[in-house]
Amino acid sequence: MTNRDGTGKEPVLEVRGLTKRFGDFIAVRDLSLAVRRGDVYGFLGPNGSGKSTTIRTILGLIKPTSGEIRVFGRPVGGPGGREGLAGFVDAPGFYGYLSARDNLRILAAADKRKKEPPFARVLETVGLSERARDKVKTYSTGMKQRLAIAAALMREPEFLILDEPTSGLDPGGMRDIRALVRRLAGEGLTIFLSSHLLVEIEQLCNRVAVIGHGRLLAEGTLAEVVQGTNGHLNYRLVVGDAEGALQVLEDSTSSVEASRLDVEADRMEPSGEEIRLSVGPEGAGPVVRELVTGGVEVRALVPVRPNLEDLFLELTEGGGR
Amino acid sequence: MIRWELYKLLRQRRTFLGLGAIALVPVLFVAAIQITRRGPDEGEVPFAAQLLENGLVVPLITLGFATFVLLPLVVAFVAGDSIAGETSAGTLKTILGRSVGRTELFFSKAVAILVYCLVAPAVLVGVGLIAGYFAGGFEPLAGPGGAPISVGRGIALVWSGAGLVALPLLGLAAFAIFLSVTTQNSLGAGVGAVVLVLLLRLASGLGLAGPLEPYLLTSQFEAWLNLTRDPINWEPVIRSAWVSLLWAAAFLAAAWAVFVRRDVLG
Repeated sequence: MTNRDGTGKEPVLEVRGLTKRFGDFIAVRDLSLAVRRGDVYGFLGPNGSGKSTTIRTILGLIKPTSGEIRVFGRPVGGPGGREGLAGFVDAPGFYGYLSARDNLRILAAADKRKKEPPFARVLETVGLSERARDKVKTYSTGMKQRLAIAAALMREPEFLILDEPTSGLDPGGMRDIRALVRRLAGEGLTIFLSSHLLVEIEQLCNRVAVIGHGRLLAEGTLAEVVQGTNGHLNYRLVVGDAEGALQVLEDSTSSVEASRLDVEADRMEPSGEEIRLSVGPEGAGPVVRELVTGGVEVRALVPVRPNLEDLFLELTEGGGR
Repeated sequence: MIRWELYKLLRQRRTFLGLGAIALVPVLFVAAIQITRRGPDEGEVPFAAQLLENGLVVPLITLGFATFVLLPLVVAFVAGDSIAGETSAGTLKTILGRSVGRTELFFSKAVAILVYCLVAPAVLVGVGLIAGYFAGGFEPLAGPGGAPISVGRGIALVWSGAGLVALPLLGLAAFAIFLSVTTQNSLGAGVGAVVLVLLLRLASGLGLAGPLEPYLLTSQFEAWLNLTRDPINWEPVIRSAWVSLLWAAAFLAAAWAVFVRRDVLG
């Protein structure tokens, strides 16, 4: 298994200051990011945020207005720029009147490789061996997505770009694709996965970039991004008496150093009353000490795993800040 | 890539709808003649007088007829689809995500369309010869000056006529490819190319073209008739060839220049 930390490794993809305009519309503005070898890099953004435009420039389908894109250190527009790179953007396009096998043959011819492409193996990998002779127009959305992955794998890439690979699939289809992505990552492929589904990114990726209105809103390891921009930690505090606890916490704001308390009371079951705590990087220790000293019965302190969804909405609904 | 472009063309329904329509023309023509026992009047159409007794005139008359609408129509729609069809189906982005360069892909497509421009009139005269043979057998032709044209020379005339018609078709196809690249709309490109043919015909008909008349794309469709003269009048034949190729080269170059620079969306 590759090191998923990603730091200090050679960059597979470098995007620097990418801007793409279509007339007056700026689809992507000054976007910079780096994907390192072994990353499963989540590219997260709502529909229309510039994800596909970014991927099209990486694949060399459109020219950037400004900025630079390098894959394995080579500019994508230049000679050999797409070597080692494979992927697809938007809904995969195939010749519906031809069989899957013929489609792969045409793409293999376009690959200009002397080696016989591993048709059988890639079809097997995505589970399409049985239907390889059928016309693609008879395929379901999920099968087309899998064929697109097969077509990409046929290039035997080291870096795979998947644009919303589970889009339009039923839950079973999504599960299959995610299992496949996990397996490919386990085999050492570097993967760039765009999605607007947070759960997908959380399940599959070690690093993530969040994009909205064409701008990069956050980038880093999943943990870094999830912990949010303010670096606060969230807890669910169960106490005997929420009013009393809030009183203590209110008084403590001056006494507890650098601990900005953002407290809401939420009256719950008889087991206790809950308070949502948000504390600074020094943790919940000082707060709990104060509560106990103040005579508040602390029954439980449960860390709330920060939610990517909340963060995502916070980041993307701010109009790109 | 050329091989695969031809293969794709071969596997598309629109290719065969076009060729089927072309093949139907001589068959229907012969059937109609057999039923009515009446042909077009001499003067309007060359060789019409011999129609009832000589099958060799069938491919000649249908070739002259098909250059007006059917051949340009069929070629316009197939060539108009070449790039735009792949853009809208999303296959262009799939192909261009591989290693092949845009220039190579473009010219592979252009060669496939060139082959189609040769095949379309060949199908017309091929079916015409067969239909004509079974309808009336082959006799020597009475040429425009009255001098007889032997059956062998007549058959050669039929095939070279088809070859000469392919050249302005290629010019038209290049224009349709240009529209296909620029409009990214398959149907629009086909219609646009047909409209060009109609406008040029209208300009000729109304005498608006003046000294440009011999250089209109549509004027080149009649050049093959010069092959029937004895001796052959080569000057208009040669001019037709270079004028047609000039149209083709100009629009292919323009289409290529746009294609290699364009952002691939869709």
